[in-house]
Amino acid sequence: MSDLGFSFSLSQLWQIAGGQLILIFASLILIFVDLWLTTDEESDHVATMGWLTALSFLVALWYLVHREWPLHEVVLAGVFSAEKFSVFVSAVVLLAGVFASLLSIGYMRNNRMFRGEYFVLLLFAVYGTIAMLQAVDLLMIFIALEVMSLSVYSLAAFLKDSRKSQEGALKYFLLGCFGSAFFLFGLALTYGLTGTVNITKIAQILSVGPFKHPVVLVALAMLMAGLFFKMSLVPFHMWAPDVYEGSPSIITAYMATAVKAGAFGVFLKLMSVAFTPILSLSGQPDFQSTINLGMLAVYWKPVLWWLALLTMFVGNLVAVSQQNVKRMLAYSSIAHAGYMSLGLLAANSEGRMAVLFYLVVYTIMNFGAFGVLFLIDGKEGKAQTLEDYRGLGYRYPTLSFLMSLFLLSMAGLPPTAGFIGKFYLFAAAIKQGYFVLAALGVMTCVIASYYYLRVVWKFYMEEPAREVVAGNISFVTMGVLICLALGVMYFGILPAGLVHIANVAQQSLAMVF
Amino acid sequence: MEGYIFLIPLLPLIGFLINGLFGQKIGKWMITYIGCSSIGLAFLTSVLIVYHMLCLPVGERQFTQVLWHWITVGNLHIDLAFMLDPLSAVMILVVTGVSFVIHIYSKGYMAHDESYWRYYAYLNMFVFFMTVLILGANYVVMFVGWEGVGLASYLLIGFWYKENLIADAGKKAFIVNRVGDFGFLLGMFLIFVTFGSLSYTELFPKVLHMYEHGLLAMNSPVMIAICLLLFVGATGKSAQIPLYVWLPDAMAGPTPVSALIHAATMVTAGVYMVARTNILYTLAPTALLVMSLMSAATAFIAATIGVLQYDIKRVLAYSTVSQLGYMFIGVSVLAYSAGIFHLMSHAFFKACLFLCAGAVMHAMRGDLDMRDMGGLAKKMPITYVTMLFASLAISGIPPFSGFFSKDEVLGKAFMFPYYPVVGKIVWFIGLAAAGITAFYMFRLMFMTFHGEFRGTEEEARHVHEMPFSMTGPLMVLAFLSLVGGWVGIPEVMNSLFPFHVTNLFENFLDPVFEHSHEIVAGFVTIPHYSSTVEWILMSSSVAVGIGGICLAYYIYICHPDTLPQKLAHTFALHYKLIYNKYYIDEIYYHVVVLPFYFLSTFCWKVIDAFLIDGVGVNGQAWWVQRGSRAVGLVQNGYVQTYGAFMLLGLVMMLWFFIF
Amino acid sequence: MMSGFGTIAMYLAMSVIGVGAMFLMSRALGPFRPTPTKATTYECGVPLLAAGHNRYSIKYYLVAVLFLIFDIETVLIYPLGVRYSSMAHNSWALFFEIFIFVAILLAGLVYAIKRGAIDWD
Repeated sequence: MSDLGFSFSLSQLWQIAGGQLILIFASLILIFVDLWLTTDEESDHVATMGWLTALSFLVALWYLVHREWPLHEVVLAGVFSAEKFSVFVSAVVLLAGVFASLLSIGYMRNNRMFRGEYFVLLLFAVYGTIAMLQAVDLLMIFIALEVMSLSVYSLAAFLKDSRKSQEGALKYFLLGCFGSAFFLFGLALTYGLTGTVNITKIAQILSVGPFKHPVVLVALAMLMAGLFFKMSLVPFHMWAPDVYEGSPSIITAYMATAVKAGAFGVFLKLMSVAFTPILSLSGQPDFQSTINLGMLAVYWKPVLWWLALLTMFVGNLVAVSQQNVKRMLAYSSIAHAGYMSLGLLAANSEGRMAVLFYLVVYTIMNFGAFGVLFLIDGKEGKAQTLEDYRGLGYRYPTLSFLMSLFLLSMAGLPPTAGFIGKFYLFAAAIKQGYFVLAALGVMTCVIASYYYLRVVWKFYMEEPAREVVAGNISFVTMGVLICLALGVMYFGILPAGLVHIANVAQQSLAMVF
Repeated sequence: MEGYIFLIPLLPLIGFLINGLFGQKIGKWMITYIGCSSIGLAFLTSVLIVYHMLCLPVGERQFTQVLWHWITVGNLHIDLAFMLDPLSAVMILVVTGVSFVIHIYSKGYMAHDESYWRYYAYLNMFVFFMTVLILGANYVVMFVGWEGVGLASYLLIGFWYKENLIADAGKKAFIVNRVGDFGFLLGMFLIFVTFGSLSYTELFPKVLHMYEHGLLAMNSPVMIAICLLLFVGATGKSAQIPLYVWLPDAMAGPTPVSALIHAATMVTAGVYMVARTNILYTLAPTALLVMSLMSAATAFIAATIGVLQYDIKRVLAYSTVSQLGYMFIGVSVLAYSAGIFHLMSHAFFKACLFLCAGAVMHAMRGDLDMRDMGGLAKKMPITYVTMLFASLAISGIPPFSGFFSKDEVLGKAFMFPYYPVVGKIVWFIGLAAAGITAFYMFRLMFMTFHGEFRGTEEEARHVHEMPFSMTGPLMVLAFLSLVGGWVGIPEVMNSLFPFHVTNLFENFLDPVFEHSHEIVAGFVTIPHYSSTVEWILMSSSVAVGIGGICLAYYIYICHPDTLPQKLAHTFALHYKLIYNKYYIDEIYYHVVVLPFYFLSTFCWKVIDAFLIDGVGVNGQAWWVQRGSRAVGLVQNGYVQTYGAFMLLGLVMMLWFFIF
Repeated sequence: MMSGFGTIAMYLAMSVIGVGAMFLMSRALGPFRPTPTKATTYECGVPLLAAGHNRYSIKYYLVAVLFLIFDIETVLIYPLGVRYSSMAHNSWALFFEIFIFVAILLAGLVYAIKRGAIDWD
C-alpha cells in the first residue's frame, strides 16, 4: 500500500487499533461459544455469555487506557488514529458496553429471552462505534457507522413478541438508511471536491482551495445531517421516542448513551479536524493554513444554535406530557442531546471538555435510570407508566431511592454529577457569548426538573394504584446499579479528576494532524 | 499524629451509618455496642492526639489536616480541613468524653423505647456533626457542623414525634435557630468579602497583620458588624437573649439528649465560635460591650425565671440559659479562656444535673413536677449525692469546679479592660444571678429529695435506685464536677497550698489567645487590682452562694408549707410576672409570630396562591402542557412524517448554508 | 451564491413545474368518472388472478444473504488478484491478510449453517 503514501506495519496496527482487534476477535470467538456452549439452564448460558462479553469489553478498555492513551504516534496509515480524544470517547462506549452486558443478564432472565447472539451483536455495535471514533477517514467512518447501526437495528428488534419493538426497529432502520444516505452523499461530494477521504487532507486541500464553494457547504450540511440523525437533534429526532420505547430497556440505554457518544465524538472530531480546524499542534507547515477554514463556522454554528434550542425545547416539552416513563426518558435523552450540543456549539476547549465530561456522566445516570426501570418493569412493558410508580417508595425503597438519585442527577440538582456536567456545558456556552441560548437552555432545565421530580413525587407522595411486582433483582444487577449511583455522587462531589482527564483528551485533538 | 484527626468525626459517622441503615435488624445489644464504642474510640483518639500535643513545645501545638479541596470558585478556596489547637483540644475532649458517658447512660434510660436504634443513630450523628464543628479549620466546615448539630437537635427534641407538643418544640428550636444561622451566614459572607478568606489559619494572621500595619482600625464598623452578626448566630445556637426561647421547650426530648445537646455541648457552640474568632472580637470593643450587657441580662433574667418553675427539667433549662450567659460574659470581657473554662466545668455539672433529673424522672414514671416529690434522698442515695455535688458546683461553693470557673469569669468581668465601669455593672449582675442560682438549685434539691413524699402511693412504691449503667455515669460526672475545676486554680490562691500552683488551663489555652492579649495590651492599659481585691471578689461570690442556699433552706426546709405561699401573696405582681417567664413567649407571639403569620397568610393567599401559583407557575405549566401536546402531535407514528421532517430539516439547513 | 447551482436549481424547478403542470392539467381538463372496473389494476386486459403482493418464503432471503458472503469475497479478492503482481514486495503479508478475511467470512457461514439457516424443514 506504499503507493498511498503511508507506512504500515502489523505492530503499528496492533498498537493503534488494538482495542478494535480485541473486540473483533472476542466477537468471533463468542459467536462459536454461543453455538457450542451447552448448559443445563438457559439462564446460565446467558449469564456466561454476558460475563464473557463484559470481560472482553474490560480487556479492550484496559488496552485502551494502558496502551493507547499514552501513545505519541497516533495515526495509522491515514485510517485510524488513537489520540487521547478518541480513546476517551471509546472508553465511555466500552464502559457503556460493560454496563449493558452485565445488566442484560438480569434483563434477559426477567424477560425469559435467552438469546446468546444478543451479546455478539452488542460486541459488534461497540466495535463499530469505536472504529468510527478512531477513524480519520470518512469512508472508514461510514463503514464503521454502518456496522454499528446494523447491529443496533437488530438489537432494537430483539423483543420478538412485542409489536412496539418490531415497529420501532423497522422505523429506525428505514430512517437510519435516510440518515446514512445523507452522510454518504456528503462524503461523495467531499471526495469529489478534494479527491481524498482522509479528514486531515480534506482540511489541507480545502484551506488552500475554494472552501467558499457552495458544494463544500452542501457536503458539510449533508455530513452534519447524517450525524445529527444519530445524535437525535430536532428535527432528525423523530425516530428516537418510538425506537427507545419499543427496544429492550438495556438496548435503549445503550442507544441513548453509547451510540450518541459515538456520534458526538465523531462530530467533534470531524469539525475540529476537517471543517473548522483548531490550531494544529503537529507543527507541519501544511496544516498551518487550515485555520482559514474557521470561517465555515459562520455557516454551521447558527444552524446548530437553532437546532440546539429546538432540541432542548422539543425534548423537554414533549416529555412533560408523557405518561410512560420509558418514553419520557426517551424524550429526555433528546433534550440531553440538546444540552450537549451547547458544548459543540461553543467549540472552545471548555465546550469540548464539557461535552466529554457530560458523555461520561450521562452514560452513568442513564444506565442507572434504565437499570432501575427494567427492574421495576419485571417483564418489559408491565409496569412502565407513572401510575405504576405510585407509592413504590415504600414497597421498594432501594430501587426507588436509586431511581430518584438518577433522575435528580438528570434534572441537574447538586450535589449529583448531572449538575456539574450541565454547569460546564452552560459555562462553556456563556463563555463563547451565547447568553440567550444558555438562558433559554436553563429555562428548559426548569421544565425538565418538573417531569423528573414528578416521578420522585409519585414514588413517595402518593398511594399505590395497583400491585406492582418488580422483577428478580440479582446480585450483579444491584452491584452495577450501586456502582452507577456511587459514580453519580462521586463525579458530583469530586469532579476535578475527570475534568482534568477530559481536558487532556480534548487537547489531543490537535495531535491528529 | 495530625494524620489521625479525621478519625474523630469518622468514627461517630460510621456508628451513625451502621445504626441508621441497619439498626432495625442488628438488635439492641449491637446497637448499644456500636453506638457507645464508636464514641468511646473517638474519645480515645482525642485523648491520644491531645496527649501527643501536650508533649510538644507550646509553639507547635497546632495540627491541621486537609482531607481534600472541597469548593473552588473564583478566589474562594475551601478545603475540607480539620484543625486541632489547644482550644479545639479542650472542646473535643469535653464533647467526646461527655458524649461517651451519656451514651452509656442512655442504654439504661432508653432501654424500653421502641425506636432505640433511631435514638442511637441520631445521637451518633450529633456527635459527628459536633466534632466537625469543633475541628473544622474554616468557617464553612464549622457551618456544616453548626447546621448538622441543629438538625440532630431538631430530630432528637422531636424524638417522640407522635405527640404534637413535642413535635412543635422541635420545630420551634429549628426555626429559632434558623434566625440565628442567618446572622451567622451573613457574618461569614462579610468576613469573606472583607478579608477574602474563611480559613482560620489564613484569616487570623491576615487580620492581625492588617491591624498591625494600620490597614484596619480598632473598632471599625465592618468589624463590629461581623462580630455582631456572628453573635446573632451564637444567640440562636447558645440560647441567649433574644433567641433563648427554644431551649426550655427543647426539654421535650429525652433527658440524656437534654443533658448532652442542650446543656453540655451543642449550646456551647456559640461560645466556642466566639472564642475561636477572638481576634476579630478583640478588635471590636463595641460589639463586646453589647455582648457583655446582653449576656449579663440573660444570666440574670433566666436565673430569676428558674426560681419559680416546678418542672425539674425546666429549672435546669433556665439554669443552662443563665450559665451560658456567664460563658458569654467571660468571652465578651476578653477573658476567653475563662469562658471556655466555665464551658468545661458547666458541661460536667450540668450534664450530671440533667442525668440525675432523668433518674428522678425515671423513678417517678415520667413525672417531673417537684410538688409531687420529696424525700427521695432515702430511696435514691446515689442520685442524691451526685446531684448534691453538681448543685454545689453550680452554686459556686469551693472546692467544686463551678467555684473556680464562675469566679474567674466574674473576676475578669470586674476587670474588663475596655469598659471598666460596664465591667463592674456586669460583675454585679452576675453576682446577683449567682445568688439566685444557688437559691433555685437548692430549692430544687430540697423540694425533691427532702421532706415528705407528696406523690401518690403507687408512685411511692415505684421509686427505686437506678441500675449501674445509669448511676455509673452519674458518679463519673459528679467526680468531674468536683475536680474539674482544679486545673484552673487562680494564682492568687497560691498561699493556700504548700506547693506552687499555676493556672494550668489558662496557660494551656494561651497560644490561642495570646494575639488578642497583645492587642488589648497595646490598646489600653490593663487595670491592675491587688490580690486583696481578688480575695474580696472571691469571698463575696462564695458568700452570695451560701446565702442563696441558706435562704432556700429557710424557705423550703424550715417553713415548706407556709412561707412560699405567703411570699407569693405578698409579691403577687412580681410572682406572676416571673412565674409566666416575663410573658416573653406571649410577647414574641404577638410581636413577631402574629404579624409574620398575617404576612405569610397574605403571601400565601395573594402572592403565592394567586399570583405565583395561579398566574405564574400554573400559568406557565399550562402553557408548557399545551406546548407539549402541540409539539407532541407531530409525533404521529408514521414513518413517512418522520422522514419528511428529516428532509425538511436538511432542506432548511441547505437553505441557510447556501443563501 | 447562484453561480454553480443556479442553473441546476433552475433546471430542477422547471422540471418540477412542468411535470406538476401536466398532472394538474390532465386532472382539470379531462373528465373523471370512475367505475369499479376502471379502478382495478390494469393487467394487459386479463382479469387479475391475485393481489400483487405475494409472500415469499423466508428461505429465499436466507439464501440471498448467504450468497452475499461469497459475493463480497469475490468483490475483494478479484481486484487483489489483478494487482497482486505489482505488490510483490510484501506478497505474503497480503496473502495472509486475504486469508484472514476469508476466514472471517467463513466463520459467518459456519455460524449460519450451524444455526440452521439451510435446514429446509
